[in-house]
Amino acid sequence: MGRRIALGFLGFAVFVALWQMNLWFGILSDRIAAFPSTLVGFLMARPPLVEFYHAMLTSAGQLAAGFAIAAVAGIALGLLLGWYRRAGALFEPLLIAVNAVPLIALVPLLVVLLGLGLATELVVIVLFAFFPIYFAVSSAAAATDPQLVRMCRSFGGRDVHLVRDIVLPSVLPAMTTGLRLAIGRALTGLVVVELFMGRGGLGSVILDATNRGQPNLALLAVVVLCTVNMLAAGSLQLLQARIETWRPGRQAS
Amino acid sequence: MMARYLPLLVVLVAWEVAARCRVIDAAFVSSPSEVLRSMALWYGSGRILPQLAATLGEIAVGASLSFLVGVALGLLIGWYRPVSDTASPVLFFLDAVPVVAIAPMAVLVIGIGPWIAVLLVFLLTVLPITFSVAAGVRTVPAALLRMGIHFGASDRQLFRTIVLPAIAPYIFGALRGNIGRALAGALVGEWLGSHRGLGSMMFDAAGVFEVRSVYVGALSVVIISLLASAAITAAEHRLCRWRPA
Repeated sequence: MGRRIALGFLGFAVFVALWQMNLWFGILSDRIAAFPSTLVGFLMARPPLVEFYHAMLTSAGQLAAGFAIAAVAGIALGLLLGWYRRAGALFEPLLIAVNAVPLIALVPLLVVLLGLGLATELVVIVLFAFFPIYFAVSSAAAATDPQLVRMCRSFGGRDVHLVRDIVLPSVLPAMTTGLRLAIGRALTGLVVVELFMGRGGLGSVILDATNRGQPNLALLAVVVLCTVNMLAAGSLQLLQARIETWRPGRQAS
Repeated sequence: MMARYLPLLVVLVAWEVAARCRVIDAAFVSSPSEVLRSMALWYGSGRILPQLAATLGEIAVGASLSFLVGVALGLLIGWYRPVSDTASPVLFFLDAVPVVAIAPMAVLVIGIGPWIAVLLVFLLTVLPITFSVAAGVRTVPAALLRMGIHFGASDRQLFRTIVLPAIAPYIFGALRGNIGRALAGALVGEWLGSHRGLGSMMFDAAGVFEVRSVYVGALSVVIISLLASAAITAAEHRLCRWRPA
């Protein structure tokens, strides 16, 4: 275990060093690509990059709201349509059909239909994040062990018990996986819609900075997005490992 | 069987009726019949063919590159434990990069042209293949490998008869998942860095509220992804025929 972590850190250090060395040995210029030292410089800049932080806050708010809506809708619909087979059989083909459309192809359409506003941005983020969550939850709910369900019933369990003690625990691993995938998708949705609308947020920072000849500032935005993605996915994984300690046959990792 | 498609049909009929009765503004949302008519027109006159060819070409180049690199990287990572331990954190960091966000910078470095789309297709599809192949290699039964070695199999034979069959389903799974990502990469690449292809056609049309082209593009993209999915499934059935059901 210790060796694994050491090797991991080594790999990362080599990666950052190689990146930085491009600058020291003059392979790439600091004007085009930002290097670790440049990025730190941006964060320390005086006066601080108020615009950048403002864009970060805007994007963070949109992302949080969109992700929350998608999570609630995805989990609720997934449980409903996964559990009630008939409803699932009726609506699932529709959802599969929508999911078959590469969502990026719908972004220009949504912007035309809904206008250049915050609502459009939210809708795009929700759409991007919804499907991984929904499909993970609904297939896991449909796969709930019928023996456990029967046992719960014969011991006099009511629907509340059934959902709380049988369905939710069996859905949980798939649900966290779905949520983890959804974070990445939500970020992509956020960037695409902000790039397209160009009305604030990190997406427009990327576009503006590039157009103003400051692509290294755009790279800072990319690194911020990437860090958010890693932190969120990582904490979800930790949370899952914590909740799942009771599961038999699962060593603490 | 037909009942499965009922909701889809209901939505389409409702859309058509709403557009005909002017409940919704047909100039903005069009209607199924009009979309079909535009499709017939665009495909019949061959007007869409250059765009279609550009997009498919970029996907073919980008996806072939990512297939080669992804399978090679995946084999390395799956086979050699220390390589995996060293490379995994970096790969997870790179996997967390929203690739679309790099596009504007890539345009600045590479310049306008089809290569932006090729690059995005490659970047979006290479890591899923790498991770799948690595996961597949780890499932190769050690007993089979030992047996192969004892019977004097060469590395080549080991790879062809034991490793490759074990990772094949993983490769096909990754390919299927990559269809959407490859299309997304091509569309965004063309939108931000090219004047050709379905992506630039759709995003340009949306900018001037020319909804019909957007629908024609979106429908074409859906058809491409369904065809690609069917092709991959057919290939998998053919190549994995020996597998017990």
